[in-house]
This record gives sequence, C-alpha cells and structure tokens, in this order.
Amino acid sequence: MIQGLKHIKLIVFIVLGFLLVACNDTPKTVSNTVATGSFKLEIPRDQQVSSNGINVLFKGYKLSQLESIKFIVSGTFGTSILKPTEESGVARVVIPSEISQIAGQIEWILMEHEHLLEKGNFRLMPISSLGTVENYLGPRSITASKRDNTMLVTVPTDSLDNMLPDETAISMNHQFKGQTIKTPVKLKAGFGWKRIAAPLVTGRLSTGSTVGVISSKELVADVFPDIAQNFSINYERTHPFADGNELMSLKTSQIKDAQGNIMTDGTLVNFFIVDENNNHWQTTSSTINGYAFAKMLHPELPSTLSVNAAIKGMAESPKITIDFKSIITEIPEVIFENTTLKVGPLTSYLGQLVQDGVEVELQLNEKSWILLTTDGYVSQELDPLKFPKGTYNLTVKTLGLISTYPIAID
Amino acid sequence: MAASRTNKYLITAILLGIIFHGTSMFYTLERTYDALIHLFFANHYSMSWFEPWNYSWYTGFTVMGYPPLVHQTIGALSHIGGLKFGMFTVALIGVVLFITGVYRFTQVLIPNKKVAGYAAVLAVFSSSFIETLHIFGQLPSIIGISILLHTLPEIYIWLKTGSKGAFFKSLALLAVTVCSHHVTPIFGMIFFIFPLIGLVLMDASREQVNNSKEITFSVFLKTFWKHLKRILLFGGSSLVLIVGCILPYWINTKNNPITQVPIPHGSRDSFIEVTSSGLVFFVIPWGILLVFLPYFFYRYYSKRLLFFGIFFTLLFILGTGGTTVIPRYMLGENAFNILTLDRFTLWASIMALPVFGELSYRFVEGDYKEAFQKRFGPIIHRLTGGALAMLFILIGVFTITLGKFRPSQPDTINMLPIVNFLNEDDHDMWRYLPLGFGDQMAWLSAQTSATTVDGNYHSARRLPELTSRAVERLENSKYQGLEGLGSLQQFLTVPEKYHLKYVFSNDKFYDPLLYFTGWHRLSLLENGIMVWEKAGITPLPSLLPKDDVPLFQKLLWGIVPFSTVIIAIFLLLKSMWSRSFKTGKEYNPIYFSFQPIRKQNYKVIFIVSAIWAVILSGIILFGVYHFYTANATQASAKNLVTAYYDALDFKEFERAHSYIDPESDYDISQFMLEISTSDGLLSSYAKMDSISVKIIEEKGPTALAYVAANWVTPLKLIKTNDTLNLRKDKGQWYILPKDVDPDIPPDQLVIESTTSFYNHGKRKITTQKTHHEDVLKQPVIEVLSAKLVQLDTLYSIVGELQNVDNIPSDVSVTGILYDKQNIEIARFNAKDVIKHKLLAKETTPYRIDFESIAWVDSEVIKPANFSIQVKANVATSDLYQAAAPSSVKQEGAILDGFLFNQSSQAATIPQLLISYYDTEGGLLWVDAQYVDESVRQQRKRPFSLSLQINQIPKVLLSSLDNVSVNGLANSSISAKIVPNRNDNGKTESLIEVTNELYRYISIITNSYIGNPR
Repeated sequence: MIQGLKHIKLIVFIVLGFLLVACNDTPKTVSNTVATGSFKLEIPRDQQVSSNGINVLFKGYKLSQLESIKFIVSGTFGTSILKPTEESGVARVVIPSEISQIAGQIEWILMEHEHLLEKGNFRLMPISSLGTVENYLGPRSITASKRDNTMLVTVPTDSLDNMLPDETAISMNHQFKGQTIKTPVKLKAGFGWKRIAAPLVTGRLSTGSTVGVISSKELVADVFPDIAQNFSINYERTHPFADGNELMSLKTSQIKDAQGNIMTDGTLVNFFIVDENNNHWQTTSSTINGYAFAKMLHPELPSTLSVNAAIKGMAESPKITIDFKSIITEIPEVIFENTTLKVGPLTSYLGQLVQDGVEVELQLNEKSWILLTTDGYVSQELDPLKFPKGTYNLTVKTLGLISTYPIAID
Repeated sequence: MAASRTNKYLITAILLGIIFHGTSMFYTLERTYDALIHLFFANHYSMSWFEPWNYSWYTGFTVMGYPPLVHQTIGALSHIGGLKFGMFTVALIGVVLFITGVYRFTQVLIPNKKVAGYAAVLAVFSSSFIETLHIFGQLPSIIGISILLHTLPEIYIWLKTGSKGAFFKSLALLAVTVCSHHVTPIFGMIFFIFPLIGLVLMDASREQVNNSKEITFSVFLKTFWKHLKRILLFGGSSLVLIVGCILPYWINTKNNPITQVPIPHGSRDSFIEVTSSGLVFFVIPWGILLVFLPYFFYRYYSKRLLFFGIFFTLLFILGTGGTTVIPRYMLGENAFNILTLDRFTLWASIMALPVFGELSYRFVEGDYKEAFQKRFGPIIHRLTGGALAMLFILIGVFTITLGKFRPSQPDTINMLPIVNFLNEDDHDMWRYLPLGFGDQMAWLSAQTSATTVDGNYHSARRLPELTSRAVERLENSKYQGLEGLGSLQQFLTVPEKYHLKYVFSNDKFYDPLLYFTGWHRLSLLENGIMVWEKAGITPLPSLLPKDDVPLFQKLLWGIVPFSTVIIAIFLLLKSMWSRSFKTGKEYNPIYFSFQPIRKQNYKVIFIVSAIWAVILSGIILFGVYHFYTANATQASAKNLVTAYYDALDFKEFERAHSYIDPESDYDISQFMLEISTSDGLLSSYAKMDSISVKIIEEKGPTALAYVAANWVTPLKLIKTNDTLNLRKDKGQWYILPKDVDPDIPPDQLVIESTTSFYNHGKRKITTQKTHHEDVLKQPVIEVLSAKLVQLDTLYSIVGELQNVDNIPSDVSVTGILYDKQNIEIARFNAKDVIKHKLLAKETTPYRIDFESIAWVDSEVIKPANFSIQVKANVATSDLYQAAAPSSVKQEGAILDGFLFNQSSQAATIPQLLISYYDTEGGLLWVDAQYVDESVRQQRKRPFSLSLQINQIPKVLLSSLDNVSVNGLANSSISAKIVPNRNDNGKTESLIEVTNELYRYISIITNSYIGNPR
C-alpha cells in the first residue's frame, strides 16, 4: 500500500515535469555593444542568377564583434537575416542559393544590433541557358463564330525557373486543318500572348511555341459549331392507322450552324405535338451527325397531329401535319349474358383483332368503367344488387367511336 | 469452509464463462450495436494516445466525451495483435471480471461460499449479461459494473472495520470503474454503494444487540453516527475520484453541454405498446428471474438486506422505461431523455444474482430441497429443477442467438474495397458518407484516414444540422422517418459545404434520392457497395479546425486511466495472489460473521410462489393468445390483408402468393413474373409506414377490403388506396387476384442509336494534380430567368437555365438571399426541383427553397435581394431521355396523360418537372412530381397528377443582375454565346390550362434509371 503511494508520487512528478517542460520557452537575452565603422563590405554588383549562392566578402571587420553583425537580404520571395562567418582570415556572408537563383532586385542592409552600417541593392539577371517554355491555352473549347477566340500564353523560363527579360523573341504557332501560322512575339513582363480568332469551321486547333531551341508542349482547343439554324422535319411510319401500338419516327434534317457546321453529337432537340383534341405530346432526341430521330407512339384515336421541333431559344422547324385514320368503322354489338357485359370482337384495319390493351370505356347510367381489351374483347361483371332489373343505357367509347345501346337486365 | 479451499463452483463458472462467451463472442461481438464504436475509439488511441481531437466523424469531435480506459486498453493491445484482438481480449477480461465480481459481491450479501459459487455459475448464463455483451456490445459498461462489484467487499470492510488497506483498495478500484464508464460509478454510488452502507450499518447495529429483532431505529441511528466519519471520508474521496480521474471529461461536458434534441430509444418506450422494446429491454434481460421475483423481494426485504430491497425495487421500476410515468417523474424530463434505461434493468438483474444463487443453492442442496421433496417427492423435485435449469439455459442461448435470427445489423461488409477506393487517387481528400452500413460504419472509419460528416457517437455531434434533429445517424436515416430523410437531404443537397464527394450506398433505398439531388454512380465495388460521386466539390483544406484543450488535460487523459489500473493491480496483487493460489492462511472476510437465519416457513413461500406462478402463466398465456390472434393470418379478412401487405413490403413473395385464392389459377410463376416486371418508387424503394384496412361489404364468403397504406420513400410519402376482393373458403380467407395490364409493346427488338460520353482526362498515371492540359473546360450554362417568389412563409428562387455549350453538363445552382443592407441571410442549393444532368442545349427549370427558419429572426428580416451561382461540370452519365409525356390534358386540378418510354432503358422513377406561367408566359413556379411506378421500355404508364391550383406564389423580384456561372457574369455569357436568343420552342412547350391563377404549364421529364443496361 505504501509502495502504491510512492507510485502516485512518481506519477505526480512526471506530470509536473511535463508541465514545466511545456511552459519553459523564455527567450534568452544577451547584450554587448560594438564599435561602429569598423565593418566594410565589398558591394555586390548586378550579376546573373546562380544556383551556387553568392559570397559577399568583408573588406574590413573585427573578428571579436562579428557575432553581432546581421546581413538582411530582401529578394523576390521575401526577406532573410544572414549571419557572417569567418574562415581562415576571410569574413563573408553567403547569400544562399534559394535567394540567389531567383531573378530580380535584391535589397540588402548590413546592421549591428539596431544600427544600420551600410545598405544597397543589386539585380540578379536570368541566365541565358533556357529551361522550359510553359504554355497556357484558354478557353479550351470555342465556337466556330466571329464572336469567339482563344488565347495562347507563353511563359518561357531559364534553367533556374526565372522569367526571361522583356523583348526576348518567341514564336507562337498554331495549326488548323493543316494550315500552320507562326507569329513572332516579343516577351513583355515575362509573358508572350496571342489571341487566336476562332476558325469558322469545326475541328481541332493545335498550338505550340518556341523560344530559341526550346519548345513547349502541344495544347489543343476544340472548335465546336455555333448556334444552330432553323431546320426541317419529316416523319416515317409503317402505316397511317391510329392503332396505338406502332412507332412513328420523327426526324430532322441535318442541323447546321450559320457556317454550315454540323451540330455536335448529343445536342438535344425537342418535338412538340398537338392533336385535334388539343392534347399535348412531347418527345425528345439528341442528334447524331446533325440528325435527330425521335420515336412516338401512334395515337389510339384518329386525329391530325401538328408537329414541330425546336432547339430551345435558338432554332426550330416549320410545323408539319400528320393524319391518322381510324382502324375501325363501328363498334360491334354488346353481348349481355349472366350478369356479364361483353364488347367485341374489336377488329383492326385488316380485319385482324385489335392488339391487347386498347382502352374501352363503358358507361351504364352513372357508373362507368375503363377497360382494356384482351383478344379483342372487354368484359365487365355487373353486381345484381347494384343493378336491379330494368332497362339501362349503355354507352361504349373506344378508338374514337361512341355508341349507345339499351340494355335490359332481367 | 476450511476443507475445500478452492471454490470449485467458482472455477467451474470461470471455465464455463470462458468457453461459452469466449467462443460465441467471435460470432456476435462484431455484429453488436456498440462494440465497433469502441473499436473506433480504440483505434484513435492507438494512433494518437495523447491527442483527443478526432477528425474522422462529425467534421471533427473530441474523444473526451467518453471515459477512455477500455478504449485505451484495446488500443494498447492492438499493437500486439490488431484492433479486434484487443477487443476480444478486453471482452474476455470483462467476462472473467464479471463472474468473479458476482462471486465476491454475493459473499457480502449472502455470506456463504457455496451460494457465491452458485451465483457465479448463474452469472455466466445471465440473460441480461449475455444481452449486454453479445447484443449491445457495451464493453465499458460491463467492465465498469464488474469492477464495481469487486469494489463493494472492500468498501464493506473499510466501513465496518476502518481498515486502511481496504480503504485504498476500494478507492483504487473505484478509480478504475470511473475511467471505464462514467455512468456506472455515478449511479452505482446510488444503487449499489448506498444500500451497501445500509447493510454495513445493519450489521454493525446487529452487533450491538442480541438478535435482529432488537435493531430499532435509534440503535441504527447510533450506529450511523458512529460510522459517519468513515462514510463521509469514503464519499468525499470517491467524489474526488469521480471528478478527478476523468476531469477532462467533465470539463468537456461543461463546455459542450448536450443541447441536442433527444434521440428516441427503445428503452424509453411503453413496453406494453411497443412489444418489441418490451422484449428486448424487459423480458430478455430479466429472463427466468421473472419467475423468482417474489423470492427476490422476500429476501431483499429481510432486515439485513432491507436497503438492497429498496434500491432493487427502484432499479426494477426505472427499468420499466416509459411503461409507466414513474421513471420519467423520478429522473426528471431531461435525464429521462438522455439516459438509456436498459442499464437499470441490467443492474437490477445483477443485483438479483446473489439471492438467485441462494435460491438455487437452497433448492438444489439446501433446506428447500428437503421441504420440496417431503411435500412432492424427489421425482417432482428433480423434474422441476431440470425444467427450470433447462429454461434458464434456453433463454441464455436464445438471447445469444437473437442477433442471428433477428439481425439488427446489415450483413458483414468487406471493407477492403472501400478502404482501397479511399486510398486510391487521393479520394481521401474529400469526405465520404456511408449509407446503410449500420454500426459497421465505425469499423470503416477505424480503417481509413478519410473523414465523414456522419458518426456513430451521437453525444459528440457538433453540426447544428445534426443536433437540431432527433436523428441518430445519417447512415440509417431510412428508419427515422421524414426527419431522418430531411436531414440526409440537407447534406446531399449542399455537399460542397462539407466537402462531401463520395457516398457509399449499401442500401438501394437511398439511390433515387442521390440521383435526384444531382449525384451520379461512379462504380460498383467488389463487395457490392455502389459508389456515388458529386461533381465539382473542392477537396478538404490541408489544415482543419479543431477545438484544442490545454496540455494538462491531454496528459491527464493519457496517463491517469492506465495509472489507476496499475495502482489497483499493485494494491490488490497480494490478495489476488493469496486468493488464487491459496497461499498463506485462509480467513473469512468480516461479513462472514453475519450468516442469515433461515426461517422454516415453507408454506407461505409455496403459496406465494404458486400464486405468482399462476399470475405469470396467465400473463404468458394472454400474450401467446394475443400473439396468435394477431398473427393467425387467414382467420380474419383484416389479418389476411395486413399480412399480404406485410409480405409484399418485406418482399416475401412466396408468402404473399400463398394468400391468393388457390382456385383462381394464378400460379406462383405468373405471380413472380408480374412482380419482376413491376418496378418503380412504390414497388422497389418504399417502406411501409402504416396501413389501415377497412372491410366493407362482408357478405358471407366474400368481402371487399379497402386498404389505405402510407409508404416512406426517399423522395416523398406515398399514400395508396386499394380495393381488394376477398373470398372465404373452409374458414380461410383468400385474396382474389387482380387483372394484369394486357398492354404489349410495338417492337420485338428495340434498336436505338445514342451518343455516349467518357471523360478520362489526359493525365499520366500519376497522383500529381491539375496538369493544365488535363483540366477539362467547364461547360457554359446560361441562366434564362431568375425570380424571388414567396409562398406563405416559404421563399424560393425559381427560373430556367440552359446548357448552351456543346458538351453535356452537370449543374448545381446555389441561391443566396440578402436583406436590405445586402447582408447574406441564407444560402441553399436547388435540391430535386431541377434536372442536374443536361445534354447540349437542354433546358431545365429550377427551384431553390428557403424555409423561413433558415435564418434567425425570420419575422423581422425579409429577403430584399438575391443572387445565383451556377457551377457546371462535364457530365458523362445519366443523360437518358427515357420518358415522353403523351396525350396530356388538363381537367380541373388534374393533369392526365401517359408516359411513353421510347428508349431502351427502363425509366425506374420518372419525375415530371412542371413549370407554371402567367398570361405573358412569365415563369411563376416550378414543381416536381414523381410517378410512383416505372415505365418499361416501349410501354405506357398512365399518370394523373394534381396541379397546384389554390395558391400561386407572389413574385417579389425578377432579375438576372446578380447571376454568375462558373464565376463569370451571366450577361457576358448570353452576349457571347447566344446573342440573338429567340422564342423558338417556347410557345409550343406551353400547355394552356383553364385556371384563374396561371395560364400555362410546361412539362420536362427526368427519369432515374435504376438498372442501366
């Protein structure tokens, strides 16, 4: 038990120890003074960038006070404080490669403690050995119209990733359908750029640029068609009968833009259809090689359809009309046996039975049923409790025809 | 007791426990509710022991919300044999600690080693313990209560004798309990230690007088006064321990109080109304103990154990949950809604074990045996004993296999493909969301560094979107009704806010919701999990915010829990050693001087037992009868219809077919064929919520059933009204089959040419990002109109937009509302009232809804201006045009027509986007309606939709000034791309309607293709 208590103590000490270590970051202060005027630098001059760093030597110095000297250097990417070093009688400050390989203006200050001793600046010039040519092209897809263009931007750099000086000559090239255009451009602020007007033909535009012997990667822009122009539509069907069970194909002419470019595959075309009863039908299709094919079910009722197609807000077709004839001339007699109403056989344009699923509406006084044909017939059982003996009027509606029969229930 | 030094019953119990639990846990533990959550926490500690912040769940949360000891132990053990090794080891330790704990606890109450041995054996098969371990997986709770049981003898000795050793031992053990589970020591103080103090005082009082009858209140009070110093010392020290050991937990609780909306839990239900909760939280944990309840009360209300009697009663009542109002009244509204009350039943059943052990002992070899045999003969005695033992074991076996027969979790998911997917190509730089994973989501989180917005420890939720709703997890929002789905929809609609890019769907129920909120399928992983992706989501920043805590808290959290174990082992090593190996002199603890005096009044006991047995049998018989009548499906017409719908809901088609009239020549293959051709929101994505069956026109052998059912689907609630014809034959009711739609398609073979798209970039196989040549240009979208409208308290932005580019586009539209001072008040995205995937030149209407509660103070602040930001990305999938509205006509408030599917894909869920226009053709409102059934290839699907006729919104502002697309001004796009926009296709798309509030509507279809071919 007592040993256990010791254990607790140990843990408390460990915890306290941790806490102390965590809190202990008081800065050290050292102070001693230095006589001024005893430090002189060899002023660095404008020079080319280097990946080896730059040595700045001291013409005069006091070794004992070298500790308190700071060399503050400010380049393109920021400011650093450097410390001088002394080796075999030579004192120097080494500007590291991180600073010396980036082209631009370098400002420097030599200080001891708070006193400014000397200051100056020099320039680091990009070297002539070229590194890469980086290109940017955008937008990467344009429309074949006079309103559109894409822009090629070239940023050549030296081997140390510095931008090249102004007026450096570059060649910005592009190719379209075998035709190559080379444009000489002078660098400005490190960049060269060129607007390429959109060709009026669809295709792929490739670009590249060269600076001396160095070349960029290839970048491409796709030229897509402009806004579609009005087009026409047509239709194809296997027969002109309104049997509700055949597909009619609506198709457009080849849809093109003002320059005659064919619409991209997958452009949506809407077809709007209105029948004689002002019922609305719609169907859609996307183009393939400029043509859109949409399928539509034959109506079940004879009607004249008025059809037009449109690419919304852009282009449309003239209206066409399509006639559908009835498949039946009259509704056959109603059979009423053993409380079951039966209508049929309904036959189609060849005298064949209508396909299954034709809608037949039966109306017996106030009660009505919507039935679907099977093998040409529909049938409905009547509940004798709801329809007591008497005479009723039966109305049959199907395929655009209406007939009324008297029915006697006994 | 000197003869047999090692208690063979205890040894048997431990061996039995290890064999029984040790083998079965490998089949149960991973499927429990909580075990994987603890595993996830353990994984956190194994990765960063001292850092309490975890980014994996809830966009970051602190693990200081749960006492760490068990998790840390598993985490430490995981370095030996992996996380699951750690979990099983700890579970096994828990089993041993529990059995030995019951043994020691029993000795205090019933000072008899044989009785304690019996109790230990019974503890192995205690159904509440089995349920807690094998069904709930509550490891910390088990460790907590087991250690507490070990603590109680030490507390007794300290209070009785003032032994300093016992004092420190009890505190050390209590500290371990505290670090294992926070609720156990707090309530354990009340329900175990308070009655123990009472017991000590009783025993001490007994020493003052000659027999227990002489213990009067004044004697008791005197003893209490004498022991007060020890009690206070112990109470004070344990309070210090409870606060001190898990101090960071309390600080965290104070800083982040649980302010969330209470989440429903079955243990708070009324067990009579919700019988499933009653079974899980009352009948199973009590198990066979229910039979012996009178004995427990009889024994606990004896003078020595009086205080245990009182607290046993309290626990029993609290464990009944919401059955009566008493627990709610006792705990107070707040505590009642936070606590899960099943733990009270667990404790009560554990408290019952000592007397249960005593009863068994007396029945098997004690005085009851003699009395019983004298009265009924030895055969009856043996038969009864055998039957009871059998029943006891059977309930245990039933409990342990419950998870197998009534799975509470989805099937085990192989996580490896998901982990691989997240590791691949920096997919873990975005958040993911698992759907339909159950508690296995914790196991996934433990294996990946990717983070999710969801989580599985709901007390730690931080996002107001989660805490403001009674939604436990997004992952299982299907089971949480509209509120759950609403919460999920919020995350799916605005995923960019959470950097949520991937959804792993293990339940196709959620798929339509994902589709209509603008997500698309990426790939089906090997384990059958569908990966959904949202385009245009920015990756997580490399630095994520966190709530930091002071260093001392981290150190306390990391060091104290393990130290408590080390100290406890150190203090108890000697007694453990001597107890286990029987070295040194064996002496009985002080409580052995208080042997119970057994009264020989067997008659009363038998009579009471008989009465109780009759009552219990009555309850059971009533339950069975009730169960039978409710489930004798074909005996009544109502049951039949309910059962038929139930079978359809659970996709048990063979059972559903068995309810159909056998004389109707409707064989199972026809039935199955019809089922297989029916698809859509209602038949494939709906869960029945409620059903009401009305039998009308029941005339002899026929009846007509009117069925109104409510179905929850991911998109909307569906109410169906159906009429079924029923027929009775030989006392059994049957359903008459309905006619089949005889429609046949026009073509035998469908030939279709379409354009397909694939985007693979131009990147080399490298993880380097954003090569300029690899960046695909964003498609150009033009917003054609945008209006701020108000409908009651709902503000919306409606409008139309068009993909004016030549490539297909995925569109997400963000609307922002501003007040008069141009300060942003709310921001939301278009949810499902928009077509997210657009072909070139395709147009869609959109609507962005702002509930007026979206901003604070909605009474005062009114939106005065709005802006719209459209983000477009290249889309390559879900560009089907699969349903064409045909023969559409309006009659009053109803829009009639049919959808015809001209394509080669089945339109699983067709959506109709209906726009409403005024007389000038100006857009007023957009609405989305879903057709409940699918449209198969070349088939018709009639629809009948109700139009919005009573109310049309007020247009507050119509402007395209503040609209940007991909960061560019909309006006510059329209000037450049479509300078001469005309009205082509506009008038033709409008359907004139006769209504006073609006003049035209237009329809656009958008279909979810459930099974793309």
